[in-house]
Amino acid sequence: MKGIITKDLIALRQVALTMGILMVFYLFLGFMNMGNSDGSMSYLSIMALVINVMVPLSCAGYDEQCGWDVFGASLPLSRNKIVACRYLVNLIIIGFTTLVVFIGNLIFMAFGCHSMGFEAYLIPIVISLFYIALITPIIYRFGVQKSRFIVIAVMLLPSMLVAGLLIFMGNAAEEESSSMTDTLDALTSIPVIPAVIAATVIAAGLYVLSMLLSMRIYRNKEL
Amino acid sequence: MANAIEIRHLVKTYGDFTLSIDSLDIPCGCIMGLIGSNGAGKSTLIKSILDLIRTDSGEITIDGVSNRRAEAREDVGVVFDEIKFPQVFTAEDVRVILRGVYKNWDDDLFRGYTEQFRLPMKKKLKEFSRGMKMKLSLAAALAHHPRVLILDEATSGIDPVVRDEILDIFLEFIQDEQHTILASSHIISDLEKAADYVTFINNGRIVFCEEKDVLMEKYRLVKCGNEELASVNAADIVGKRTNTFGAELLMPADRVPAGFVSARAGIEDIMLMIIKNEAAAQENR
Repeated sequence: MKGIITKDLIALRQVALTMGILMVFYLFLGFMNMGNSDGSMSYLSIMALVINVMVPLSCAGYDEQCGWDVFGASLPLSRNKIVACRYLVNLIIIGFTTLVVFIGNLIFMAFGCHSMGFEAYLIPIVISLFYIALITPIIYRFGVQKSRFIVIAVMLLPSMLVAGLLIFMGNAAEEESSSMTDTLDALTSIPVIPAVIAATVIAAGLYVLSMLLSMRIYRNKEL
Repeated sequence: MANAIEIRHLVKTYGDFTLSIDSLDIPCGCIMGLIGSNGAGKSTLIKSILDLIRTDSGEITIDGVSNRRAEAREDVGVVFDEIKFPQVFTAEDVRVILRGVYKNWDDDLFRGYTEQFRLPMKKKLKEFSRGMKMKLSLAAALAHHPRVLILDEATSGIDPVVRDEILDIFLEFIQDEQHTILASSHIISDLEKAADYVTFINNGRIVFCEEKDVLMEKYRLVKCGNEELASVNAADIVGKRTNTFGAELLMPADRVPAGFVSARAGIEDIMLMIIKNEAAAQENR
């Protein structure tokens, strides 16, 4: 397994420059918003999220380009292990970006910003886990090229649903303004930390389910 | 002699193509050449052996272990027609990766091959020539002391000098009688030089699997005029190329009529004439 993980990390070395530029860019944005302490921190979280979701696509892209799958499956490793390695690499990167966010937080604190809350670390992790859990089986089933549009569609669908919901709520509010306010009040009154922890547990569960699904897809794939 | 690879009742169907092999044994200590036209089933057979595709039925063992088990591939080295590592990787990256995969990986052996092949360790693969990439694939395939080497069109697109260098490595590898090579190639002259056995696949079926020397003694190419052609028993003709003045026939050596001029048939002649004959027979049906 070590070799397969190493292979993905070596491939990511190629996008390290892009990742580095992203980090510097978001840190710069953070510094530009020093007046708004929460804003500075959220840039770090966005940076972590962008890198986390970029990784599975980059790794799969490199594999597809050179036909690695065929060679990988001819090695003395089960296909389940090969899939597990990819999920493990994603977790390594999530761990790495979380560490970068932590260090960035320390830097911002040195410049007088408030410390980030525990939940600010978890939110990008949760979204990354959800996203990776969703797209990885699609990539294994259809390949990076074919799944690109499916992934965009899948990512757009929740946004469209939310947008639709907001329009609906806006219309409803015109008719019954008090019910809209009640709904927003109800949403904002949800305790943040327990909600984030619950979301993390659900995301972790989905991540494991996604890995099992990807294993099933890859086991039956003709290479 | 033990068999390195045994195949029984293998069936794999893709649409209207079916690979069907009732029985095929690849003995230890030999080079088995796999020949056939494009789409004949050579790559499907190799993919089946490596468990890259889901076969409809059949059993395949490598050194007595089912090919479905990952450990069966621990003693197998594979070289495909293209190097399957990202072009931005280096030979050093390949070494680091495969060291973490194979239990028997031998860094010194790998470095020995890369020095022998004059391969730079730090240069990206995209800067390698096709020959260099193939040599790197071969070094990677051999550096974990495999007992079985499987090559799928590994020498295609490579110049004769490099091909010859690679053939020498094959011959060196096969000096150990526990070692076996299964090589599919369109370059039949390479197989003629190196192979001990030849398996010919056409339309998903094995037409023959023979010792190369026996095969080359088995058939003769007979050149004859139209009058002579009329006197030949049609059942003795395995393959035929006709021209204005007569024909060139592929016949079993023991069936060549007395007085006819005959020459030894090469593997390519045998393959081509059998394919043509089968195609003609199919058209007549």
